[in-house]
Amino acid sequence: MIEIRDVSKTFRRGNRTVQALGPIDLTVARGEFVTVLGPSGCGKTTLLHILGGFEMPTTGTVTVDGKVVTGPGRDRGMVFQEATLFPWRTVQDNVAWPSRVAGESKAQARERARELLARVGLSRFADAYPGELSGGMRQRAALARTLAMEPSVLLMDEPFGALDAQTREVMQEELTRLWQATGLTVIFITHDIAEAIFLGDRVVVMGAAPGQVVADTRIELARPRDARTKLDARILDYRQQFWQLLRDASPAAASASDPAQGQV
Amino acid sequence: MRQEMRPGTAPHRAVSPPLSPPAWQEFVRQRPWLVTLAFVLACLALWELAAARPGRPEYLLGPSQIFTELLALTQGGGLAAQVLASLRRALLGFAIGGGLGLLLGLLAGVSRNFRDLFDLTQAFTHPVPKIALFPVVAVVLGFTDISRVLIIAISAFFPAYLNAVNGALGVNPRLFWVARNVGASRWRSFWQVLLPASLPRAVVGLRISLMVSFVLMVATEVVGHSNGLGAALMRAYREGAYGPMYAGIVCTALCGMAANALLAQASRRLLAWQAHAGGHLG
Amino acid sequence: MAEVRALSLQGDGVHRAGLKVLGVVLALTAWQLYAMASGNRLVPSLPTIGNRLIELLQDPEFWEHTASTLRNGLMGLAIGLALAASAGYLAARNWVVDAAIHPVINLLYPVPKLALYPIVILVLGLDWPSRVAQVALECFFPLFVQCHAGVRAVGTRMEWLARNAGASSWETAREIVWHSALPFLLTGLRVAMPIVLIVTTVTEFIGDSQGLGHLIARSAAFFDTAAALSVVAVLGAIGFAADRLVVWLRQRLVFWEKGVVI
Repeated sequence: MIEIRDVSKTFRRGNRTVQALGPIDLTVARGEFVTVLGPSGCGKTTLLHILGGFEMPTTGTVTVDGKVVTGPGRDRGMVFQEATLFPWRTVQDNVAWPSRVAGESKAQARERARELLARVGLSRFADAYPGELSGGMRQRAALARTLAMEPSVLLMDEPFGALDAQTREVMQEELTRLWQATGLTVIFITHDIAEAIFLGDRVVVMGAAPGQVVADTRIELARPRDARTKLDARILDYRQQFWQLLRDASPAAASASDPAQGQV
Repeated sequence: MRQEMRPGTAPHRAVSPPLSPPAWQEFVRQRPWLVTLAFVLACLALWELAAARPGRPEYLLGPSQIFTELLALTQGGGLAAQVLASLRRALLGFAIGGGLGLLLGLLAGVSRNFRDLFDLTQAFTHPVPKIALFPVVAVVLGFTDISRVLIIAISAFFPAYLNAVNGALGVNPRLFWVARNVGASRWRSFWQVLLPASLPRAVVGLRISLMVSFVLMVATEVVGHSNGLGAALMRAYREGAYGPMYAGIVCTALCGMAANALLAQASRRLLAWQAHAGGHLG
Repeated sequence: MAEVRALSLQGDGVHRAGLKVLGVVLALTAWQLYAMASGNRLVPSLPTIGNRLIELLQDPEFWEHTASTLRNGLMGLAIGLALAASAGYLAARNWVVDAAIHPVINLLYPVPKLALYPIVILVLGLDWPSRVAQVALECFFPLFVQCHAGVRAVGTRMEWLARNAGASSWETAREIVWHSALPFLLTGLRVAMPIVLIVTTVTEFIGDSQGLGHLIARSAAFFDTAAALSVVAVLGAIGFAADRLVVWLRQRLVFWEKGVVI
């Protein structure tokens, strides 16, 4: 239901033109969970911004459900790396806000917010302010708020990147559980190989300069996935595969360290 | 203040460990307000003594005398009317100048074009002491409330404007992206995202504006013919009526402090969410 | 990053500058139109003001007044600064002094000190000493707050380092405290400048005197609004220059903090 056709993005620096992204051709089916894996600077965030309608492509079009994307919209919910909650509103008021903007009454919006908070496990913190919450809790609240928009697509920009390793793992398991229950289409950006494999139906690997699709691999791990999936032996193969791809795609990735490298 | 131990001498009483201060010092340290109180009382006492001394200058009144004078004026002599007249001017000027400064500042924060249009004019008018305009304004518009409130408003405008601009500029742009994602209109984004996000910094400007409003209130009343606290105390000074003069000063001071305290309280309420703030908020 | 900045300075820069100039032109045009429309002789047109200003600048009496204002302002500032720095230093280093005076200063901060001017006049007379004292009194407060914060800002680690190296109290003060407090002090100066100008002007309104404030009041009293406005413009120029001076001073003295805008 998402068609990315011939999308590219160029910037002008002084009198040089720098092609940051593209050309990219990609199709995403409804209900798919696609992870986009790539080193820093490969344009994956730019691609997400274009999908969200916050940046315009220099060439090409993005079509969602048959309609061309020309700007931001409630059908495509963004989740950023920093939770970006309104610090002056309680968690519940934050999650209720999208409903209010859509014209729902205070009571309706509050009811909906309560539902969503229960979904993400934050019911106890409904009246807390974002400043009082930990990073993981803030991201859950941000997710709940985005879900309040009732989007058909979730665009997630390394949402767990700022969290510590343990919280990250917990959030990954929760996200996949949530996705399983809602059937949303998700495009998830990350530079973490393990995360990409665990979450995605497909992993799209991007290389840098200019950012383009280097590989598009289907992940054959069984659904639904949970903590036990991480023990599956095929993960190591995928890991090796993507590690190699990333290294070939960008010299910068080669200098990054992957804990898995030591094994096998 | 500890005594050195001379070698060869042995004290007959137990010596407390060298690093712990005497108990009373610790007691006071936990309650610094005791020192404040002691200091203030000492000052008041000295003042009272100086005022009671024979041969003191005529204009020196002690705290007790000022207090009785103040009471007398509150009961008898039209103090309320003066206070009301002054407060009305100061608060009106603050509301207009501060309010306008806040709104225009926020606008300038989000709109590069608007900000540039205002920029040089603001830079040139900012350094001018606005009170310097008062004689001219008074000549053109007369020594009326309009001219006074106008000067107060112009003076209150700038601190509010500058801080609102900085507040708006400092807002995380992602917050606006969230608003666009949700489909919020520009109007809604201005009032529900920009304003609360800029408020912490903007409020600092408003507090300065309020102080400035009070200073200008006094300044405009002291020049030319007027009513109000500033005028009253100037009149008392000229007539040598030192009692009412001091009472007027104390009254003015109290008004300034009260207004400031109220605004501080209000802003604490409005910005209650900040108390919980960690470092890395959206 | 430098490339991005260069980009924004190229085509963009002209656009920005154009808007800024347009803003001033609009403001001046608005004034001119108002002056012409009101037909009030008391609202002078821009050319009138300009001419009067040129006349003033050639009048030696004007320069006497300017000198008087500058002298009073700077003296008041110097005294206020000396008091604020000493009090700030003492309060920041000694908790007893801090507990004694700091709450009182905080309490008196929002009081319009101008209300105290009659007392100052009674004690020091109607001439320039009372004006200097008033300026010192009013700029003391923001300067104290800044100096206090500056001395407080001295990192504990730095002090330990100094003590470790065997530095005396005086040496520590000179090297570490001075440099840590300097940026704060300069910010305080920047805040105090407008206050000095305002207080000097107002005190010169009151009573027979000298100074630019007095000149404004006298011109207005004789309905010479063009002259009064010219002097106002001069005051603005002085304020602007003083501000730029402090900014420049900060860049020179606090050279290790690059690109900080106070």
